[in-house]
Amino acid sequence: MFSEVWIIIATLLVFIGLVASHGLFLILGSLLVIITLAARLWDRYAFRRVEHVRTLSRDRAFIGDSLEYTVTLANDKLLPLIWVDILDPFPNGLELSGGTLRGSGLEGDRQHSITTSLLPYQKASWKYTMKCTSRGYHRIGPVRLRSGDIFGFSSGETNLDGLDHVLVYPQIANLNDLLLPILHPLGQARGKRPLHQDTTWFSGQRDYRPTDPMKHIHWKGTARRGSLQTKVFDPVVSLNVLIAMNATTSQFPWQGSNRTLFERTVTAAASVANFCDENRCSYGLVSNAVAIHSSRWLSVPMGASPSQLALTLESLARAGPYAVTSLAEVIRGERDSLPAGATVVLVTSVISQSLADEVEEIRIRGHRVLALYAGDGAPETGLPGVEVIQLGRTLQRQVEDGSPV
Amino acid sequence: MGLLSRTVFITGAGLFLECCAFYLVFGMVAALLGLPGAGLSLGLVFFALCWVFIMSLYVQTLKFTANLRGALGLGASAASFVFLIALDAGFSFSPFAAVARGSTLATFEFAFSVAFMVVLWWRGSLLAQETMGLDGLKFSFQWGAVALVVALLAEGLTTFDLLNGYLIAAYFGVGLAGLALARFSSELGEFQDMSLDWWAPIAGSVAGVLLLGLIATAVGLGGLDEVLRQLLGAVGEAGGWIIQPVILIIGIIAGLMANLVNWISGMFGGGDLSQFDAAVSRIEQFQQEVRQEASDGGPPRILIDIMKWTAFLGGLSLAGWIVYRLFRVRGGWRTPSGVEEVRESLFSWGRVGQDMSAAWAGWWRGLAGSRAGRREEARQPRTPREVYYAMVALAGELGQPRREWQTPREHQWDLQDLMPVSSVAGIVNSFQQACYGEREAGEEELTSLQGDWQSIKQYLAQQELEKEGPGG
Repeated sequence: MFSEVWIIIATLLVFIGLVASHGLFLILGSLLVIITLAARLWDRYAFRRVEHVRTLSRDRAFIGDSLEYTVTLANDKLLPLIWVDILDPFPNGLELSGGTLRGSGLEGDRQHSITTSLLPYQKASWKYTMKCTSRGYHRIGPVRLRSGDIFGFSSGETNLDGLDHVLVYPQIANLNDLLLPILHPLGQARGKRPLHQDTTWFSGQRDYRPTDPMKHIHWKGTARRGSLQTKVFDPVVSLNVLIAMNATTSQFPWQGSNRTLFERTVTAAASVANFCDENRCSYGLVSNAVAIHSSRWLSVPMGASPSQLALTLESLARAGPYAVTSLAEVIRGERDSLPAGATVVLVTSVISQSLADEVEEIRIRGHRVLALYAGDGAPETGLPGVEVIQLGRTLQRQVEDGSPV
Repeated sequence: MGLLSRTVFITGAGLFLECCAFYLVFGMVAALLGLPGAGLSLGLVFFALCWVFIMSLYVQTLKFTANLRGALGLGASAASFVFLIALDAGFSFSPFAAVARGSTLATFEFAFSVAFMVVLWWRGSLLAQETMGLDGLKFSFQWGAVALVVALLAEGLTTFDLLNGYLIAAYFGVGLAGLALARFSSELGEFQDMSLDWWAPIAGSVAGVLLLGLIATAVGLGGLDEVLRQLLGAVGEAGGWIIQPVILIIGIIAGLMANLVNWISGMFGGGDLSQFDAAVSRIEQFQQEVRQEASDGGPPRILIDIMKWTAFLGGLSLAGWIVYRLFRVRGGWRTPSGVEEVRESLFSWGRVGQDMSAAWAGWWRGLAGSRAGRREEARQPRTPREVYYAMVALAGELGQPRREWQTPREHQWDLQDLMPVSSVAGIVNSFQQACYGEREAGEEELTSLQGDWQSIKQYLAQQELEKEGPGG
């Protein structure tokens, strides 16, 4: 507000006051000099050695969980910060109890704001309870600090780059309840044909045949019986499941994205993953949904490791309601690498003709396909030869009741 | 502090600043024209400004047609003019009578008073059309400061008397408090209350500025030696006030001891206690001498001064220690909204020593290189284009120049590992808007831009320091 001209005028007044011993000149000049210098002092040094830190009790949570969120601001210098605004972009899926959340001017964007003052060499911390209200990869930051002299003559701001995030997993519904009376939607768990044997599942021994591999000869049994014996193992089949989640929620692109249907689809996909995990299947995920803060679609390679469920849920937590391409395209890219006998679980809230064609193609290749329809009512396009389970209303009721596991 | 009380205070401060400015301008115009009766008193200017402000606010809320509202405002204004001019003349209609009599001077004075009123009416109704905020108050303060400076210069050159120290102190006191309140108010929403805790820093800052101004004036008027003498005298006085209760307590203890010994010796048939009595009387006498300063036959002046200074320094150290301990206390409390706030100190003498020495060194370096610094400052980029091209030049130095085929947005991607992402994005956005949006950057945007530029420079300086390592 006070430019160089004002400093010159104020100095001139002080000079005249000193020369003429005139009190009014001196007091007016000195007051103008003081407020101008104070404004410049804070403008120049306010943000030196100021540190902002966010702390989260954990960075992964389920919907409804409460986390401890602490904001710390330290002023490690002699100049006090008479006022400082901490403006931190805050995601919509998180709520701060007791915090001031305001719109930032951009649609849908909020800022967590704290206005405070700090003495020289002082550190202040604010501890909040943060509630996770919706699924997603929620990013907090980067923070913007504003400060200046108390009278508002100068106001500077600085951006600090630190980012923090919270990953909120999708809800998981109990598929056992939803899929009744279909007891084994993902195929038989116990194999009948002894195509593959697991060498750790020893079931007995029999006489050796010339076609048996040498490594399966039971030497101790041979010694006991006096004739060559071969180990017999239990036959097993591997249950490979590919979860294909459709991010598209409408027939035509111009109809936009229905957030409720999308969330329902994500919940259904997460529930299938959980079901597979409980039944020790090897499973993976593909989707045409884009991961937030990335330009790639979701893809979790098949696996049955203990961390597979965490990987899948994290991937689903990051899913944004935008489709980069059609699910048919994504499946087309995956179908050649599908293991023989794998089951494809299609989770979708809309069935387009191209998707139906692609499903038919997969079926022809010998894969079993199961469709979980998360939309309202019945699907617009049928899937011949594919079992379609309508989950929409039941899933919605479970989510609303908060009954999911 | 709710929205209504904040708005009332800020508007009041704004009206006061405007009132001071108009009072000075009217006074100067009247004095220059040689029409002393035309000038309006400070009270009347303030009253008239508040009057028109409230009246305009009320008329704006009437649910009539615009023409009817205008006619109503006009009628009310005419009646108000008559009333206020009569009020200016001490509740008499003498100005009107003088005009009716045909007195030339009275007619001119009357005409100018009415003209001043019209100006006040215009300004008051203009202020009533918008809510007074930080920007409005800044404008009023600046325009008032111009009026103060001009009036002061005019007063120095001519003989009229408009300004006094109280007016200047009141102008700065009310103005700075109003500005501080407006600053905090601008950050709050319509439904948010301002914490009353903010009044402490506001009051402290305003008082600090006024006190510093007064000290500077005193130093300027009385000379440094006189001020120093008075300061030392005040220190001695304070030391005397500290030492007196100490001596009094010693005297009371000695008296109590003498009484105790008297009582005990009385139980055993009495004894010679004259030495105790003498000790008590000597302490009382010494106390009197300290109070009366040096006197003939009393303790030497130097001894009393040393005692007073010792007492002053002791008291100051004790007060400093208490403040230090209070400052170092780690305080935590829970706000009504359930947020847990903890404050603790990072203070250490070593850190302060380092900071002070660094500040001195910086100051010396600054003195030596002030010319170079001014050149550097002149080179500082200011507009969105300048800042953007400065950033591109910096990126070139860091090995990531903008290729000919690259758009600013494409080049921005290349910089994400080199510079703070949000700051680069801010600069590129401003540049694009300035280049292709054909829009002038506002003051707030320029401030934000400077913030981004400084962030980048600080980040690079920090990186440089980290590269050099602790030994570097």
